[in-house]
Amino acid sequence: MKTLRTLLTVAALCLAALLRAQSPGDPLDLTRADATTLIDFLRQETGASIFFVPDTADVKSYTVRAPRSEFLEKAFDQLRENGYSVTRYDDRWFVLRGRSLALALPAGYFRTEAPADTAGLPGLFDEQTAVMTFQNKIYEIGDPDAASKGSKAVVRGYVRDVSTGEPLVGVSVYEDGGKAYTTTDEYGFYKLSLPYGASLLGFSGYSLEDLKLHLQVYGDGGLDVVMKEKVFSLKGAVVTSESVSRHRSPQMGVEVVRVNTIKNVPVVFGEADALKVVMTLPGVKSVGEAASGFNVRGGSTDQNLILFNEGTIYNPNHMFGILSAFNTDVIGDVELYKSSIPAQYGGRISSVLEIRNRDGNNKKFQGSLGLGLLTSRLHLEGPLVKERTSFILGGRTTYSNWLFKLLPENSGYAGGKASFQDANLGLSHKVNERNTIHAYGYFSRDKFSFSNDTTFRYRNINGALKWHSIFNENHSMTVTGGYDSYHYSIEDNFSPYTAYRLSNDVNQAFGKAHFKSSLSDAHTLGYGVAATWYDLNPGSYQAVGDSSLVRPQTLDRENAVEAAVYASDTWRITDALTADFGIRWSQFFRAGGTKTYGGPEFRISGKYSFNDVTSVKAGFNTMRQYIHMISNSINVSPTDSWRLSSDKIRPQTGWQAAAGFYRTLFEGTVDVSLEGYYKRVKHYIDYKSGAVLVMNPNLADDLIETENRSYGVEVMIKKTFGKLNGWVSYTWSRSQLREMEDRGVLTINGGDWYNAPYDKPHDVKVVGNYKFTHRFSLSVNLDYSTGRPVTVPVGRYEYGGGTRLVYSDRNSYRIPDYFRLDLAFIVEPGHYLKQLTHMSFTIGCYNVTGRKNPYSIYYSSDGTNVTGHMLSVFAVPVPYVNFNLKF
Amino acid sequence: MKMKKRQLLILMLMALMTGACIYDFNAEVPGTEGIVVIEGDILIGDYTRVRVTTSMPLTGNDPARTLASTVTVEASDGTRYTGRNGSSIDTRFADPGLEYRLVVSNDRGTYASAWAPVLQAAAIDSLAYTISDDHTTMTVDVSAHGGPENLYYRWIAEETWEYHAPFQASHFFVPRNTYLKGKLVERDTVAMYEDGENTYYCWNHGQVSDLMIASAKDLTENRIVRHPLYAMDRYEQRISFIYSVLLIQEALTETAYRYWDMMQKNSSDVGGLFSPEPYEMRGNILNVDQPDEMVLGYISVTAPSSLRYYINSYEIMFARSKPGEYDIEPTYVQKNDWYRYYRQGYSVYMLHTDEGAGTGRETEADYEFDWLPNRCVHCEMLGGSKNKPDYWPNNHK
Repeated sequence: MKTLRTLLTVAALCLAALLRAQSPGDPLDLTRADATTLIDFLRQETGASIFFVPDTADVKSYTVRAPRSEFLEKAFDQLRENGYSVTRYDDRWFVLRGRSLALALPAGYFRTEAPADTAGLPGLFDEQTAVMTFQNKIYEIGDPDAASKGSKAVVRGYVRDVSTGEPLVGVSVYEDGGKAYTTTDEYGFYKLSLPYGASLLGFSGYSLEDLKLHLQVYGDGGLDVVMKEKVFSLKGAVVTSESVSRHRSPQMGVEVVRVNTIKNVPVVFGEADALKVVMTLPGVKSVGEAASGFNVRGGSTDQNLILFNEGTIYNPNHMFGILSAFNTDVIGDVELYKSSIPAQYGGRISSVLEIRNRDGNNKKFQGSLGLGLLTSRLHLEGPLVKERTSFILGGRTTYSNWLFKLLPENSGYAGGKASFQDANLGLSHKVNERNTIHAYGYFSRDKFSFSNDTTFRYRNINGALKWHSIFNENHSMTVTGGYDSYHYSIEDNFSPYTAYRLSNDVNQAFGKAHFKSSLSDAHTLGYGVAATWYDLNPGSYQAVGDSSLVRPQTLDRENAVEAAVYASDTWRITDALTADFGIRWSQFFRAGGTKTYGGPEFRISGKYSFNDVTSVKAGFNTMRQYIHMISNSINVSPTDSWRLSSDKIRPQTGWQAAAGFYRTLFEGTVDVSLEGYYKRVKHYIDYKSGAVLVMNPNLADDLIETENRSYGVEVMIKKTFGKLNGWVSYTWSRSQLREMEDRGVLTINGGDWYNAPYDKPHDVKVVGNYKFTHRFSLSVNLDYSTGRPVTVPVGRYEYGGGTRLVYSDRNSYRIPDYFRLDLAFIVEPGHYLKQLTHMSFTIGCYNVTGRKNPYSIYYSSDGTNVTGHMLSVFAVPVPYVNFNLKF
Repeated sequence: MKMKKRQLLILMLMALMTGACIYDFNAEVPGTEGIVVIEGDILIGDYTRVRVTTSMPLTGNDPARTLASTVTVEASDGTRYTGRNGSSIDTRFADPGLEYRLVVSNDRGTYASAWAPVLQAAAIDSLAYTISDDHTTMTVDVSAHGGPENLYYRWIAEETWEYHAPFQASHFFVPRNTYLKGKLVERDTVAMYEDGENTYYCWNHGQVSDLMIASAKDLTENRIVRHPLYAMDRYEQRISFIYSVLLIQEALTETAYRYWDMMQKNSSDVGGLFSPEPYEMRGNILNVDQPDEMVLGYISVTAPSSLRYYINSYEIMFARSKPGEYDIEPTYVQKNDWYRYYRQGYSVYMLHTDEGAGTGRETEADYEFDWLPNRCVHCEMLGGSKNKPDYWPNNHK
């Protein structure tokens, strides 16, 4: 043995001598050497200073063939594969087996209490199993002495942010060879089946440094991981999360908007606004500026389920849509499902928009203060019990009344007032390693008044409690319960004799239990139950003041229960082919009604990957909706009310078929996607001419049913990393409606298809951010779309002493095309760690070109003359500045 | 009314907050014209006036084209009251216990409204007005009450007003030889107005173009209290001196009310951020041979009530005319220039009152006059006429 080694060493040295004069590109070759020989060879050939502790247990022989410049890395790779850790410290290399060199103290090092639950985590280095971040170290999972059961073991754990301890959501966790893939859930939890033996486990997430860990898997075990935020200038860090997740998940039409993106996109008045950014995604349209209602793939605004911390938000706007009701200081990423809607969601036809609070920092207190043109914001977060219980609290208020004060005394609006407040509270408590409890509260209210005549008020109240529990490696549960309430009222004091208050509210209590279970490596099962109890006040009309003659009236409350059971299976058929089968059965029981509605909803999708960067997907969904918004304006307006399905109002039903092609280019930095869809909806509510929508006990008699057909193609090119990031998308789509019943001459458009009000066939959107340095960046937002359809008069006639307008086919004319460019210059705080506060500010301009984009065109008659008008909401460039202070 | 106002307020507010603007815009809209329009409620106890026209292209200012038609009010007992398009049909003594319908025949076909019983309008209690806090507009309102029936109201306001020329001329120019009161007045002279003659007092009339409807459906009793009807701006000729309105109050069915509401919304409450979408509602008139033909209009059958109301501008302290509008200096014109000024649209205003005048030294030939543009002294040039209504409450001529 010894002789052989010597001989080989000599041979190698001779070879090395021969090669020494060669250039770096020339190959080096070492065949069947043991570890010590290899290290010696490396020391000589590369001149590297290598500390090496030989391990007598290592009997492997190494063969390395590589160009001189890459030889060292190749050799280290082989050593790593064989269980060595290779760590560089200054210009020295440490090659160790069974231990690793710590360059920093482990994140949990100073923790005084013992890890709460280390059962099932029997690693060799127990003190480090809580948090693992060291690349080049081998982590042993499971008990090496235990007899192996089957061919695969389950590895699970949490991924958290290294500095705040916040769970990191949506981080891709994958076995490097493509044998396993998952993403962390909303708790930062992941679970993966890995083959026994050595594995390389990758972790990658948006704006996080990629992490690769070497595992030696002996059995089931835990591995908690902390990840660091990526430093932007870091060169060569190829971060691939989005692409990884896009190519491995069978779901399609899922858009994730990062908080960073939301904060960078320029918006009017500079208030970072999640909903406005959602509207920059392909397939999402709105009827115009200052419209917070949005339309997903040809659906109407009430067909979107907006979930905020599990609660349903019925009116996500402040100030009639100038701002959305979500405080970006406290929310995390926003997810929009526009095609493959997971079986656990139901109740709306078009989409699910999911918004969640971040979890509060569980290590230290911090907060931020923001000042904008219209609002100021405060947010605080921190641990209540360190590392166990944390809170996050946010609040906003407006001082927009100054706008009114600028108005001239005699304008008649000087007495106008607009105000809103919102508050968010989130609490998370880690009961133990397996159980976490979250509590959420949300409150928002708006008040608007004009000259003391008319006052609009609306408010949202949402509360939810969530318990997340892990039964074992393969089984987890989430139980949620909560209460949502939306209330609006209009008070009209125009005349004291008819002064009234009209109010309307939606209340719902809900409970749901969701279970996740890994049956085997190939099957991940999700199933659960959900129930919602509705309590609606569809209208209450009250007199205001003593002289009012208004007769108080209250429509009967509407009560119902919507219940659902569902199950879904994500089946990894092969490494390349994955399918997702879901079925949901929903049933609707209306109190006092004779009919119950219900039926199955199918959620099927599948993907096939040609390779790591190319995949195709297809999906088919059916949906049902039992609650309907009653509105005769195309915008979401504060006077809209909600009604439940009843004996006379059937539920809306719809299906969508979609297919897509996805490719990742330029080393994972650019994603290209192409998605097409076809969608049909039945029993969508429209109104008879002359319908009375307010305080109408026989509303159903004034309604008609329409069907909707929508189809389109969405192309998106997205660059997620690097100095320049953002996306460019183009959408071609149509959305049309048709009355389902034939009412003779009264049928809308004679029973033919007509354009939906949000049918805007061509749509180009560009959202980009360019970082000049760490601190300075420029954001751009560009929006072009075909003008929306409107109904215009076709003639005039004289009647009742004046000139009147006659209308004909609905939505047969289009307003001029829409184009807008916004810019923002963002200054981030300096990276001085000792600084107590960090200030950032944004200077921006909305509608830089000042284009007079029409919101509507319309004709009006003052009794004698007919004039055409164009209403432009933001007809001039709107500059803004926004300060943010972090502490 | 109220909804319209609210929409407007929201619109204005949005505009103020966001720098929104409303621009004039004229789209190339595919037009339709020639739809038959029939207007004229059957007024039992009054004259029924029916107007048959056709719709016009959207753009342009041509008045509606009248469609020559025979118009008949038919009673359910077979009685017919027939007239021509635009004429007054005497339904003053028609039996309010019967049902009625309107039948219109012309070369486009025969059109008939649905049979309907006579709805008795409630009595008008009073009319009043309010002035806005900033003294720029005046709003006329109505109060009325009725029994438990007929909760829907519509009003038609026929207005008459007296107004004055800005300057009252004492003399007038005689351009050619004229006999006045049997006396020859030579040409190129100035004559004095006799007592009662003037070009100063005029009367004008019109119909309020606002659609005025109200509902007492949601009130505790069938009572309309100071319901705003229409507004007038400061400086309008209508309220420059004495204003009178004959308010005709009709009772509507709920369907008719919805029809008028639709017409009002479609014409003036569109295009805002939260405006309802315009829609077309069918009235109650059909072409008896082609029921699918679109016909515009709704014919109600009602026994109306009415009330005449006067407003004297002295009460309301509105300025008579816009400051500066008639800030004009009379021109002193010598006799040999009179004809030339006359040809250029000037009229004699009054005797020139320079230092020479009134000294007793001047002779008639020396009389010199101040002149003004015609529109300053001839009230008829401002839209009205000298036809004074016989009910007018003063002795102006």
